[in-house]
Amino acid sequence: MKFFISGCLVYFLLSTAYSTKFEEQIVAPITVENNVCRPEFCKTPTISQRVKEFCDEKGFSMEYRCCLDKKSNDSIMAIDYMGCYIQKLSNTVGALNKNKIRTTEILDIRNNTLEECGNLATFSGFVNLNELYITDLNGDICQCPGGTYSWTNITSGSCFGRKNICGSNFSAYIGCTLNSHCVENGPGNFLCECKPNFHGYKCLEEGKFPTLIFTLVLGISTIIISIFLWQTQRRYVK
Amino acid sequence: MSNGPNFKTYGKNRFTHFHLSTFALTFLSYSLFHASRKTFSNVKATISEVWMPSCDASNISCELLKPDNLWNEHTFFHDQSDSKIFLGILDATFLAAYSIGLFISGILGDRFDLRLVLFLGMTLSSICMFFFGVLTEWLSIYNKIWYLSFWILNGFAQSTGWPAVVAVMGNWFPKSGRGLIFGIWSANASVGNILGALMVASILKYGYHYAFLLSSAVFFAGAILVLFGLIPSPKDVGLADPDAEHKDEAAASDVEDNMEQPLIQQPKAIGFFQALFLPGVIMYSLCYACLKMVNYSFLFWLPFYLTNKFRWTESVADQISIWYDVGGILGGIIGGYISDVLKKRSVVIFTLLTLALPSLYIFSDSSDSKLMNAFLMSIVGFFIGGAANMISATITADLGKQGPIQGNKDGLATVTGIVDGTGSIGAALGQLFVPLIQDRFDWFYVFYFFIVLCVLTNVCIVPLFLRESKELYMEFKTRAGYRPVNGEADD
Repeated sequence: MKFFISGCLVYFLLSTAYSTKFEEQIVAPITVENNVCRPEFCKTPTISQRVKEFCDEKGFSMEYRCCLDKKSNDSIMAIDYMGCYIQKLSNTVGALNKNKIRTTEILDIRNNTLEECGNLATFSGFVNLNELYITDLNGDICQCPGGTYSWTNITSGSCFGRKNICGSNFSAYIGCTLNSHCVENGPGNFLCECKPNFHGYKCLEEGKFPTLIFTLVLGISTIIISIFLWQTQRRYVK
Repeated sequence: MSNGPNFKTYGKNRFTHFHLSTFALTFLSYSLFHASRKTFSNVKATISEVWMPSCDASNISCELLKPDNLWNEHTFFHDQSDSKIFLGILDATFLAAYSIGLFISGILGDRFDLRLVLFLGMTLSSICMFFFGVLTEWLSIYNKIWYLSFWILNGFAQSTGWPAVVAVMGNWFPKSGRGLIFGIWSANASVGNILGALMVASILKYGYHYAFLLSSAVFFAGAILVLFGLIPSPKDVGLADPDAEHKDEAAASDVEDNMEQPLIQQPKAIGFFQALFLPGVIMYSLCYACLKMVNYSFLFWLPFYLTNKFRWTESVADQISIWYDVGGILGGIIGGYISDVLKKRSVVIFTLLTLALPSLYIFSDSSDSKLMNAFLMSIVGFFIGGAANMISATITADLGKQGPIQGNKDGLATVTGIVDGTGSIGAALGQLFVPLIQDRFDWFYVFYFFIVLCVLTNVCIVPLFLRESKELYMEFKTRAGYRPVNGEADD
């Protein structure tokens, strides 16, 4: 019996390990673009007036296509992808390292040759984005991500004044569950994170099971009752 | 009391403290069996959430919640209805294994030490519960074969319970004391359901797997108590066979055929077919198959139905569904007592099930008021659960101790296995039908299905009902005619 169970266990562990590996290969994500300031898809020098202006005004320094805050760990304050011949947003802007773009306030992707605008997830991670220039050479192809749920001021091809999507009634039709709450994650993007004290898959678990107390109470009471039963019952069995 | 040591006795049936502890231990043991079964039915909604990503595949407009590792990592099922069908299959395979197991366990119970049979069954079942519900979540093993194999094994393990506890009770309690005692004792299943529901409701918030952990740990603790405390038969402690001392008064209180047979002093186990062809066994087995289909559909699907229909959280639905069992306990005791007074069981069963029909219809149409639902549920439980309790304990004991094997209790486990086994086959089929009907049509039609089954149950016992009604009528006429001076006592 023991061998059977442990055999099963080993088999299932192995099979699950292999199956996850297999799945990862199939749905391999787009390669993360770690080099935000000198990306593969943009080799030309910087041209955006707005980014340059912003950088000078705030006392940050331009480096390739980024405006960096040298005082604060080289965090990227603005990105200029103007005139990069970008065709698809999903595998360029969407593939940027999400951790490096959290501080970015301005993104300029004007004058590209856009054919595809990506999906909502493309702009996830731009938590601090406050200005987005998206006008294409061919006209207004892409909309402001999140639309009026995420922007207060939308003009043709430019999006200004971010609002918190969680505060709007956007979550009315894509709501988080009772145990989770909405956390802003870039324009048009939000995460459902577990409320305090909730955890586990889909935040279905609350609090911590008192394992020690439970084991002690059950164990000790079982021993005591067993001794009592033995003394009063089975002792008499001939 | 002829031979044996002088233990202090109480009551006219000379009950010792052994009787009390036997009653308590078998009651506890079977309650735990049912509590552990209830665990699974009460976490169904949560477990099916855990199996799925945040969007149902059938809902195209649904946007997946983010982040993915929190909301969409689990892809065991993509579709609510697929997972519902798998849950139904799990119930059905469990019951199939359980019902096959019952026939075997009954035969084993009559031939081996009942205490060890019970202990091993409980231990094995608690291990299965752990592998099924706890380990899967800890190791993220969501695998159909894993789930099915442990649930089938659990079905076999669980089948040791009922034949063993009924046989132990039959060994200790004489026929004359059976009626009310068995009536109260048969509440163990419902008490177990309530216990299970309460355990799950109190712990579900920590995660569904803790519900499995709790019930499997408590179940194992119960197994240890059985190992250290249960005495399968009075003979084991040198007490006399209770039925041997009652042979003079037994005839007066017997319910079925009153043919006095010479007492078999040296009990030996009867064969399977001998037990099967005892009068009434087949009829009541079929009857119980229909009734158990309804009873178990309620047991397994009620919380899921309430969560689905009224959008109550699973904990609330679990708590409300307890009232079905409360009704069942009362129905079993009151029905059992009335049947003792009338000395007729089938008439009572027939009446209960006839009254169940309108109550089912009304319940199917109830509003989402919690109070109203709890009330209607206890009414339905009273009629259906009550009748099921009576058949599974009292009537089975009647059947197992009647005519040809009177005084030979080593047929009791086998008969119990046959009646409960046939019943469980019915229950297993029901678990396939309920999700199918609900998926194809609506919950409403599930209730129509229940009503049809109750009618079928009644049809199975029509011959017994007619015979007993005639006897009752004759008795009534005789009594009315003679008017005995000092009013006949009922027992």
